[in-house]
Amino acid sequence: MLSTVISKFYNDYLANTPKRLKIIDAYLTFVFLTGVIQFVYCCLVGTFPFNSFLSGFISCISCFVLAVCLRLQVNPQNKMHFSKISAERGFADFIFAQVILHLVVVNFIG
Amino acid sequence: MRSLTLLSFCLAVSCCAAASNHLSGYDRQRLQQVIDSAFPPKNLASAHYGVLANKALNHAIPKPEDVCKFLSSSLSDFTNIEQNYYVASTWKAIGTCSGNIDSAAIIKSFNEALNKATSSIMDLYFATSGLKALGSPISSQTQKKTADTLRTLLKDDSVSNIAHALHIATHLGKEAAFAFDRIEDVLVLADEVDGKFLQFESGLGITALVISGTFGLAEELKKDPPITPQQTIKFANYFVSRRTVQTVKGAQNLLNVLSILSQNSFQTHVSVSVVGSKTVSLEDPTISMRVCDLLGRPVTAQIGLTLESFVRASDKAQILSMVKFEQTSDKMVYQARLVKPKGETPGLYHMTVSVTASAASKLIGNVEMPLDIKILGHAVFPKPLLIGTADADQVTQPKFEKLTYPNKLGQVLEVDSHQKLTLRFTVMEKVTNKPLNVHQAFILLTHQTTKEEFIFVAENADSEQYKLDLDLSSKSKDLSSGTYTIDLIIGDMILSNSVLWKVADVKLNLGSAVPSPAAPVPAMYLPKHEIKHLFREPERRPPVFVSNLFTGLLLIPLLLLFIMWYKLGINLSNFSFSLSTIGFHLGLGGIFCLFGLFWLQLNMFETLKYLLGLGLVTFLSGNSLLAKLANQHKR
Repeated sequence: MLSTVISKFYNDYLANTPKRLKIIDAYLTFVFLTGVIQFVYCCLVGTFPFNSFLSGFISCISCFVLAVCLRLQVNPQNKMHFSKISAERGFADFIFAQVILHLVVVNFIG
Repeated sequence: MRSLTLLSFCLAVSCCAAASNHLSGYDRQRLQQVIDSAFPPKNLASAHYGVLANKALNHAIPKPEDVCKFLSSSLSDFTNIEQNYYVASTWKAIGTCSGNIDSAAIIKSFNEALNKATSSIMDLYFATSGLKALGSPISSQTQKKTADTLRTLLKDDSVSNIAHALHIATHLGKEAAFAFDRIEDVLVLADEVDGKFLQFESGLGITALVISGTFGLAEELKKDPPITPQQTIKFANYFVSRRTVQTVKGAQNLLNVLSILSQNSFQTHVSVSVVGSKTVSLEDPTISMRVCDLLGRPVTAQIGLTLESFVRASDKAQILSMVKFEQTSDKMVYQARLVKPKGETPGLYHMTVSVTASAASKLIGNVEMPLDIKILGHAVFPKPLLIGTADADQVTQPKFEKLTYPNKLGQVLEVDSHQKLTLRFTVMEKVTNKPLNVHQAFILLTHQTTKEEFIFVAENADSEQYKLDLDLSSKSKDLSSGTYTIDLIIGDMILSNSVLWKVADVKLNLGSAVPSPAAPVPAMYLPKHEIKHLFREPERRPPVFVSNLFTGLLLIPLLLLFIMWYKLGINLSNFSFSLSTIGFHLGLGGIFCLFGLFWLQLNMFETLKYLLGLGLVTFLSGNSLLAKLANQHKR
C-alpha cells in the first residue's frame, strides 16, 4: 500500500516537475546529506572544535533554506505569488545571499 | 589573682643618654665628612664654604694649591660681584696661595657696586664682605653712599633683607647705625618651637645670618644687642639641633654662628651636660658633668660648677645643697659625690646645678639647670622564701619549705587539682633595710616538656610580704599536667640588680594527660608547597583516521549531486563566451577563492577590500548576463 503511494508519488514527480526544479532538488539533497553526516560525526565524536562544527552545520541549514527559497520563486506553479520576480532575478538574489552567508561562515569557522 | 601570659618581657632598667646640648666629637667628625665633599672644588660657592668651614674646625685644607688654581682659573668676569667675593675671600682664607689674583680689579668692581644706587642687597653684602676680606678700607664717602642705598633697600623689611643689611652695616661704621634698630623688629619674627627652640621660617641659613649679624653689629658699635639671654639660649638650642646638616654651606653657617655664640663680648653660651648615665648608686656614688661651649671646647673664662640642691622626688626632702663640683683631669669634666658612704634611699631625685663665674665673663645658659637623677638600690632576700602546698578549701595550714637565695629546692613538689601552690617572700633594700615595693614581682611557671610559660603576679599583701596563692582547680583549663620550673622575677627601675631566681620544680597532677613536646616548628611556619601553573587540559580528540573518514564521507553527497545532475541531463549548451559570462563565473569563483584565503591567512578588513572589487565586477557582469538570459526566455 505504502509502496504504491511512494512509487505513484515518484513517477508523478519525474513526469510533472520541470528540469530546473529537479536540479535544485538534487542540490537540496546534497546539502541535506552533508548536514546529516556532520551531525552524525558530532554525535559520535564530539563537538570539538565547536565553532567549526557550528559554522559547517549552520552553513548547510542556511544553504538549504536559501535553495528552498529559490525553488519557491522558480516554481512555475507559484508564478502568481512572485509575478514580478523572474527566475533570473531569484537566482541573482540566491547568489548574493550565498556570498554574504559564506563570508560570515568563513569568519566564524576560525 | 591576675595572671599574665607573656611571651617575653624586659627587665632592663631604662637608660637614657644625656641630652647633649653642644657639638660632640662625633658631631664634629660628621660635619668634617660633609665639608670634605666640597673637595676637590667643583664650584666657587662650595669651595668658599668648604675652606671657611675647615678653618672653623682648625682642619688643614686638602691640597690647597689645587684650590688656588681653581680660584684663579674661575676668575674671568670682573663684573660678577658674587664670584669676585668667593674668589677674594677664599684666596685670603687659604693664605698660602702662590701666584697672584688681580686684587686691584676686584676691589674696583666692589667699590663700583657700592657706589651704584641700583645695586641689590646681595651685591652690597658681597662687596662689603669682599673688601673686608681683602683688607681694603671703605672710604667715608662710599660708606655714606652705601648707607643711603641700604636705607632705601630696607623699605622691604623681609627677614633675609634685614639679615644681610646687618652684615653690610657692620662694615659701614657709624653711617649705618640705623640698622641696629632693626634687630628688634626682626627678632620678633622668629618662630618658637616647643618652648625650646627659636628659628626663622626660611631655615638654618637665614637664622644663622641674623644671629651672626646681630652680634657682629653689636661688637662693631660696642652696644649690647637687643636680644635676651633666653632668646639666645633658644637660638643656640636650634643651631645645635641642626648638627645633622648635610650641605657644605649649612655646615659652614652652623660652625660660624656657634663659634660667635661661644665667644663674644655680650653673651657667652655655656653648655652643661651629664657624662655617662644619670644614675648613681652606692657602688658608683659620683656624677660627672661636662661644662663646655657650643662647639665642645673648654670655656675660656674662670668657672666653677655648683650643685645648688639635690631633692628627693617622693617627699621633697633636701639631701644636699651648695656642693662644689671638683674638676677632674679632663678640664671640661667636673665630679661630685651624690651618695653618702652609708647609702641613700633609692628613687628619683631632682638636681639643680649652676655654673659660677665672674660677672665680666657674661656667661648665659648656666643658672639653675634642672636634672633628674636616679639613685639605684640593691634588692636582697634576708628572710627565707616559703613555698608549699595546701588544700584548696583552706581548712588546713599550708606545709611550707624554707629556701634561701639563690638556692633551689632539692625535692620536686607534687600538687594535684584539689590543692593550691603557695609562695611567700620578702624583698628588702640593702642600704635602708626596708621592704621594697617593686614594679615587677612575677612567678614564672615553665612546662619542662612543652616549654609553655605562664606568668603570675605576686601580690604585695601587707606592704612587707609578697604572696601568691595559685588555686589549681581554677587554673586547670590553662595549665596542663607535667613538671614545671618555678622562677621568681624581681625588677624595678631603681634596682641595680634584677633578680631571676630558680626556686623549685613542681609536678602538677591535673588529671589531664601530660602533653608531648611541641613540634620544633609548627607546620604553619614551614614553607608551603610550590604552586605550579596548570594549563587547561586539551579536549579529547578523535583518532586522525575517524576525522579523515568523515571528511571523505562528505565527498559522497557531492558525488551524488553530480550523478543526479548528470542523470537529469544537465548541460552547458547555453554557455556563451561573452565578456559578461566569463566575468560573472570568474568573479564568483574569485569570491569563493577569496573566502578560502580569508579562512587561511587574510583578516576581515583585507578580505572586505578585495571583496568590494570582485563583488563589483561580478555584480555588473552577472546583471548583464542574467538580463540577457531573461530576454532569451521571453522571446
